[in-house]
Amino acid sequence: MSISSLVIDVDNGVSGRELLAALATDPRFTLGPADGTRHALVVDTPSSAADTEVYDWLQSHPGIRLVTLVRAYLDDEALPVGTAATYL
Amino acid sequence: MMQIDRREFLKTSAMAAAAAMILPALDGAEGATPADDGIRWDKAPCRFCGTGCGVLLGVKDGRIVAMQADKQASVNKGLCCVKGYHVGLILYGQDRLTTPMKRVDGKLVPISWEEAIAIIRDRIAAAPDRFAMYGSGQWTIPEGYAANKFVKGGLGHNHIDPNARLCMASAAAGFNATYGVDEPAGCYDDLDHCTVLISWGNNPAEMHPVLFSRAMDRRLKGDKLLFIDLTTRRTRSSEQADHVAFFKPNSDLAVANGIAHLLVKKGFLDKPWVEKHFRLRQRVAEYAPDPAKRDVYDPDATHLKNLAGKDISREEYARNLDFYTPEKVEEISGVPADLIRLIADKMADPAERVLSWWCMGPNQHTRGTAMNSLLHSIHHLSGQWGKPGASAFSLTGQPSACGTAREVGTFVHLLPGHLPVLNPHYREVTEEMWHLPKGRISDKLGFHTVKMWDEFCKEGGAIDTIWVQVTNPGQTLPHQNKLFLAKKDRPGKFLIVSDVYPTATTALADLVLPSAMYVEKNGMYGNAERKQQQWFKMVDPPGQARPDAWQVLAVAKALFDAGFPGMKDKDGEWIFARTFKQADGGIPPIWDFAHYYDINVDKALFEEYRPFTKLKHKDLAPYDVYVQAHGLRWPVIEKEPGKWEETLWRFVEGKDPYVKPGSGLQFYHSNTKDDKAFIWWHPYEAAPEEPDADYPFWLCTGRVLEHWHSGSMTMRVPPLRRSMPHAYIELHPDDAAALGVKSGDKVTVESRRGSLTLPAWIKGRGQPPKGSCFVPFFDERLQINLVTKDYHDPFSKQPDFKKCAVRLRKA
Amino acid sequence: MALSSKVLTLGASAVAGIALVGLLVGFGQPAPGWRPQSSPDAVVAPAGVLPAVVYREMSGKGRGPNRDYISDLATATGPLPQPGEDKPVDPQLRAEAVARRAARRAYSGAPPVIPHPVDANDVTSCYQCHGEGKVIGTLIAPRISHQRYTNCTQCHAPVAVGAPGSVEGFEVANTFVGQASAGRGSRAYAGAPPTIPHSTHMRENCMSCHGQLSQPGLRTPHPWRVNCTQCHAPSAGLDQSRFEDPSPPPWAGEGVVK
Repeated sequence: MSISSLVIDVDNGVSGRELLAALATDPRFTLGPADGTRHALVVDTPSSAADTEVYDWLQSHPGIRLVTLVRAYLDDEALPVGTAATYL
Repeated sequence: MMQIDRREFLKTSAMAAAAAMILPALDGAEGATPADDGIRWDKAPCRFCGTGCGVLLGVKDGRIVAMQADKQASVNKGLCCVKGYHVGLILYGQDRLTTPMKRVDGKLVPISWEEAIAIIRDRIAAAPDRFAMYGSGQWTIPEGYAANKFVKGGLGHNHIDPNARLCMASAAAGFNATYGVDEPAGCYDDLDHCTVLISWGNNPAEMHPVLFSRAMDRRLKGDKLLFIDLTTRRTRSSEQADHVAFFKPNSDLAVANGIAHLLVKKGFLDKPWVEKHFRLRQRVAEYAPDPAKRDVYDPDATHLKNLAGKDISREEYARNLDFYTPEKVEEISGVPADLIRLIADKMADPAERVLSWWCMGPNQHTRGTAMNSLLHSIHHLSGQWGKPGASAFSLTGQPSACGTAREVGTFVHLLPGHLPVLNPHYREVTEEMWHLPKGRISDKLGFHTVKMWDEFCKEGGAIDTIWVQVTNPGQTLPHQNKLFLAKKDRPGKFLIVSDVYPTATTALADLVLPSAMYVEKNGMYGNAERKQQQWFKMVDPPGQARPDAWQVLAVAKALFDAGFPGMKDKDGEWIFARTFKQADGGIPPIWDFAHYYDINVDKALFEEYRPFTKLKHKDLAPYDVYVQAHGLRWPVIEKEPGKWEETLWRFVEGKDPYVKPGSGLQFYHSNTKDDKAFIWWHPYEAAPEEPDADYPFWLCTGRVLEHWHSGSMTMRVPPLRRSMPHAYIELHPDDAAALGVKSGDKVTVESRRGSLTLPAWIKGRGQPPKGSCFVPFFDERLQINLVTKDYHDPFSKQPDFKKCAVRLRKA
Repeated sequence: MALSSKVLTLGASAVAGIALVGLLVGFGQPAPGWRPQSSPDAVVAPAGVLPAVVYREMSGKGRGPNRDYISDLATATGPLPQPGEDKPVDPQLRAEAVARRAARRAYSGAPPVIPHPVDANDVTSCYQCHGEGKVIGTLIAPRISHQRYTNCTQCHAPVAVGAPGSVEGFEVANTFVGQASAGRGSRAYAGAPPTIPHSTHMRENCMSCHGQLSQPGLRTPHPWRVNCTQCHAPSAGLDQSRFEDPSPPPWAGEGVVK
């Protein structure tokens, strides 16, 4: 499981709008609050490789002006269950 | 605490982190965003080289306190070089010039600005035709524009030239000869796409480190990139190269011809694009057979008459190249025949994207225009052109060599918008735009840099007064004894210097004006990839230092007030009156420095300049668009109201808005008016001065990573000076042994012009081949330009700082 | 759970960079006249000369002449803190560490100078010690804090190891005063995790300065926790992620009449 949080700056043209629509319907993505053209985005993928792939896809998308990776939790191992408390 | 699903927890905290970057309210607690210590950050391009990195400068209590690389700048994407990371320190050298000074009995004594302006006014009014202005590619766009209008529109002659003549002139001439219009078709994005990168007489690891890493770092990501370094000495760039070859000075033309020879043998003359988009050309006029005559200025040999050359047939073109077999080229240049074959194979392979890049090597070259043209030509012939990554890119050395010197046209042969001054139509257009009486702009070329300083320094020369802004000719002109130091013996000559620190130039100045620098004023620069960047004044200049543009405008106004006819437009108003006229018809008295910032002078000058840029399809956006943007590459087109789009690749259908659909490539400024660019043939010729029995070594000069230009700024930045404290001479270990010289020993380098003694560095940062040596020019205490020669290219008039003959001895 | 595989990074290229480059395990000391080659058929090393190593091939190479310099983590850094033993940092040690850092930078955030001699040309050998961090005797070579680049000396200038010899007569002082260390992060309440007080741009790898191979006064008291920004918030302002357009000057909007 890999979970990364990004801030994406989206072009306000057609390709940007298409990108936002695609992100809204894809279960891997959770769109957060926005400030103008900048949107918070959480990416949930099975592996770090998949996460990198998503990142590269976003980087090369014509609707993207800038992608900033805020943080990433990259973990290719199986998750122990119920360990969240350790982190709180 | 509630046990929640770990995935949900991670996603929630991930979202909180992302949201925190956007919305301060979501930070949660008071003070969750660390205090920024009262620093206000603002953007500017870096002050140094032509790369044009975006920098953020942090200001606190009226002083620069920190810097960051701008992550939103497309050029450098959050990375600078060591100079950029210390760019703010250049403001704070302790010996800033803070008051105007005039020389009285050999000493500089403080005077008022009023007196200084009056002195310049009187010098000009007494003999306007014997006055010249010498600026640089470090002028901001509005500054260069004001100076250009002041001289060409106000004084009615064209004696204004920038130091870009020493730096970029051959690149510009090469573009004009090949495309009919100046400046690169590609951009830095080519570095992200090329699969083969060929460096020609260039050391980007030190001179354009940000661009060098932009390409080389791709290898860390697994990209395939073959880097071939064709050079005259081993450098840091060579260390990263897959293939390094050392060519004999001046023989780069033979190497380019060797590649063309092989492409012809492979049948590339029959490729469809050659017929469709290009013409085969060679020069019209033969050069003077006697090399010693090549530095004679001949106004009839102007590039405008001969620059476009003449057509040749395919057979003639092929026949011209017959001579340049790989083996013959190896014999001439020393570059292995196999490497020439490898390059030709790579260029011939449509699966590869080959990018050539170069800077001062092919420019500071007595055959610079020819060499620049040949570099474009081998890319045209091979089809390695017009696709991302397949291009020929000319790097620049100064932050606004393109934006100001070339585009604003502060050369003796240009008007704003890179319009040739010898073209009557463009003179008329300019007079109309400036609201000047017909005929005001002179139809005669002014004195180019070498000629200007020669006329100033020689007995009975035609120039009496030179006003220097933003450059340091007392260190950077070649053949210092002839072109600068001879001024000492000419009592009637008067040198005015606007600068920020004492330099080798102020040392001979009769009047010194303290200038505001960099972010002490508003500004705009244009970098090597056609990108304009704007910044606002962030801190106050020290003492009475004032912007260069104000200095020019104040003199222009003083001349107008004194009734100088040239400073009047056709209604009898001041030539800059319309520039600054407000909606209510009033003209703020910006010539009075107390009122200089009542309006944005930069914006007014820029908006007056903008219409010129459309005439050669170099369209710039309105000033306010650059305020918002982190730089835009021209032509910048308003696609829909309010939405301005930059152009990454010129002349290419689908990329350049001016290219007709269906044409593929369209060279819409073609010299032959048929939308075709040129494939040139130029022969290899020996350099005007080659080593001989008396002077057996080649001398090459250049820069180092830590210092920029003449070092007047970077030598005042402690981390940079500590890292590279003084100039040195690089020798091959065998030559050093023969001379009995170890690292640190003093060596005297001597030419027919002058000599210099400085420490040797063996196996240091670079290593020249046997029989040659290298000296950087940044050190004002060790001026290698006492030794160099003012030989220059017949078209571009750019001198060759890269090769002359010297002898060496242990001091 | 290895730190390097879990530590978050800022700047996605770091994610890709670290993943693809892999771990650096050292490489041969280059011989004089050494030049990297990428095509295997292009280089034949003369007898007795160590074959050249290209940077991107380093991870596959064995150790070279420096193989004896092995990090001695136990003696150099003292006992590692154990989970649960979350002691506050000694203010004295911290002050010393901050002062040492400041001596090598023109301002907080500037690329530090190189405090030791370097090969003027071999710009990739830096990674031999700084790739993963290394302790050699009493010296700590911190691990690079940012993604890998090929040209280290582009940003990091060596101190006083330029050209040999000396030339007198240029010692102009500079009155620049750089921004001092950012100090401590703010806490929302006593016991709350402090925020990150500095930009994390080029300092994406927290462990470079706060891990066990860093100066004692800056080390995290809880190195077993792997996800730093989970608790320590970065600043959008410092990180250029909330870039405010330059506020307009007083004359903004004043039209220019043409």
